[in-house]
Amino acid sequence: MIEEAVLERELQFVGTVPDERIVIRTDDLWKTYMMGSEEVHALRGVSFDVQHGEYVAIMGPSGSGKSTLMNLIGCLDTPTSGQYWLNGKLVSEMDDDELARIRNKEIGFVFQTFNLLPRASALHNVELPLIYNGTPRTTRLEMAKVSLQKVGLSDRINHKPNELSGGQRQRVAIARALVNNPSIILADEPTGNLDSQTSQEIMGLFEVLHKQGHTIILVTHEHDIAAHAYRVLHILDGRINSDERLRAY
Amino acid sequence: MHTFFEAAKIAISSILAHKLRSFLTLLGVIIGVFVVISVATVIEGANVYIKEKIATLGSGVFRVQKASLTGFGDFQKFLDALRKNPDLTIDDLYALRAGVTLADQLGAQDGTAQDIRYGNISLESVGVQGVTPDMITLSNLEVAQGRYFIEFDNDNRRDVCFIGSDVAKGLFPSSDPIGQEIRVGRDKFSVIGVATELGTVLGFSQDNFVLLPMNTFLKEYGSRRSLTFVVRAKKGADVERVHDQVRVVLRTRHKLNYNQADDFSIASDEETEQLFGSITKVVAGVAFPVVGTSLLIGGIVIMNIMLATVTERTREIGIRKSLGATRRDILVQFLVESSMLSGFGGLIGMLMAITLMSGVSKIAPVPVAVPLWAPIIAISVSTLVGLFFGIYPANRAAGLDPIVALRAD
Ligand SMILES: Nc1ncnc2c1ncn2[C@@H]1O[C@H](COP(=O)(O)OP(=O)(O)O)[C@@H](O)[C@H]1O
Ligand SMILES: [Mg+2]
Repeated sequence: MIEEAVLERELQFVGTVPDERIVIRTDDLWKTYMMGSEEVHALRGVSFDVQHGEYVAIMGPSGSGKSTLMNLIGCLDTPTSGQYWLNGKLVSEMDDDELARIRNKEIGFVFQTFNLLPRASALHNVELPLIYNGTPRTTRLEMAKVSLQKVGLSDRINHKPNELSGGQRQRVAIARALVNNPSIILADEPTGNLDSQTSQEIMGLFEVLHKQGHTIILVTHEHDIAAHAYRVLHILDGRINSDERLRAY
Repeated sequence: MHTFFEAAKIAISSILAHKLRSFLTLLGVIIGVFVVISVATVIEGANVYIKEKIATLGSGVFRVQKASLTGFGDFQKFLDALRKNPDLTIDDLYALRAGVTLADQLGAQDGTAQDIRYGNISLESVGVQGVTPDMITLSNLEVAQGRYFIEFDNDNRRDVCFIGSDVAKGLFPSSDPIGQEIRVGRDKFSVIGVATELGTVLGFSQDNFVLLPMNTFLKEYGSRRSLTFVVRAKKGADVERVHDQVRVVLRTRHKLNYNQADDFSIASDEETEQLFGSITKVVAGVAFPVVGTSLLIGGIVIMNIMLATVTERTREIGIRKSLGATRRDILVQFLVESSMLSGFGGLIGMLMAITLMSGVSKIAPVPVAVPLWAPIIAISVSTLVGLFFGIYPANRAAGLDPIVALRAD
């Protein structure tokens, strides 16, 4: 169900520096790729806000621009035009090093293909973000263990990815996303490589994280996965088609 | 610093994960360092040897000979000089003793080889030398037992001898040699002293000798021979001026014109060391291009392998970047990896060289010593090679777009 009123109200905010309740604000984001001499507009003016503690699904068919948007929100990429604030900071104009710092501190990625280092133990994988912000070793190990405990893998910390099941690997990835206590958890098709039962498990974990106050943005093309979220942004041809509130927080 | 340790850990694990590939990658560096260290140990060994065993005269001491290889350097000239120059005689010695006022000691020696015998034990081809009694202070000999010659022995051409420790052990395995008569060539000599053991030089024993007083030696083996004089300058005297005094005396006695060259040769240990030094330079000159080439090839191979590694680990780089690794973190990671890889090759090359060389020194008379700087140079040069040739691949890795890198498989 489309709630025109909500959309309208939020659009009024857009373009100004957001207040502290707003984690994400995008204003007229465009991403244009050059394919030879032809311009491909992957995003055509995307504007929305996400408040602290929200659980949002971004849904749309293949090629609609979900991953492109995801990369912008995750600071892996910069928009062709438009503005993006993360926690009140304008990230759309940051350089490489600043973006790396934001990815490290503010963003916790969960990928469809897990993206764990194959030769490293679960513990070391979870430790990685802390290594890149210079957390001392003992603190680092402690934090990584706590994070693995949160996803129920305390007894698997020394296992390598190939010694873990798909669901366990994704839980390691979630532990890694959580370890730095980021502002948002960004999950791009996190259940795309999992069977339905394991998918339910992982979605249950996201629900717990949401209850604990984490802000979650989930990209999916599956309705039943999107149904776990509290709000769904439908995206089509690089535009937000509708902003749907599924249930109250 | 954290990323440095992380990089070191990654480097070690990736070297260990591909042991054979790492070894092949490092072949150039290993060979380069191997050659450097091998050559260095032999040169250093030779230097130590010359100092300890050959150049034993000490400072201010020099030899005067009919001809010497160190004085000419050129072997043909040396042979010509041996043929043409007049013999140096015992009378020359007396004249030098009278004329060279800046000399502290002026001794003479000469030698031949003889079979010697005691009872039914005989030793073949032992070095027999005539020496003036002052030679004890002009050589590195020390008295272990009994005494050395005194002027009385020499003046009276007494049939006494002073023997090296090999001769003492060979002829008197279980009895006291002092006072015993041994047969040297045709005549008998009584043993008055035994020398302290000197050891070997280039595999040859230095203790297989019999010394006779100079005059006894000349009586026994004939005076038509050329002696070697050993001169020590007085303390504080300029050695060059002592050389000049020697020249004046000998040139006068040999009736040389001012425009004629010396018909004798003056050689000091410094010159011996210089001769070896020039050999060292030749050896180093040959080794240098070999080392340079293998390090260059080694570096290029490392660069290629690192490029392959970067491609192979593109996904890993993407993951690290997505987790907050900066360009610099990735750059450091791959630079540390290539330097450690290469430094590890240097370590292997060095250990191989030292192992091989110490093995060689056990079975062949090649003196070997590992100079202190060798391990430092080996590790640091090879590390620098890895660092330098790692720059290009590491830069590539650091410059990867995180999205593209994450999509790689
Ligand atoms: N690097 C790129 N170069 C060119 N076109 C791209 C690139 N990335 C995405 N696109 C195009 O942008 C559009 C949106 O892609 P994407 O964001 O991956 O969609 P989704 O994730 O929803 O499937 C597609 O038409 C895709 O072909
Ligand atoms: Mg996609």
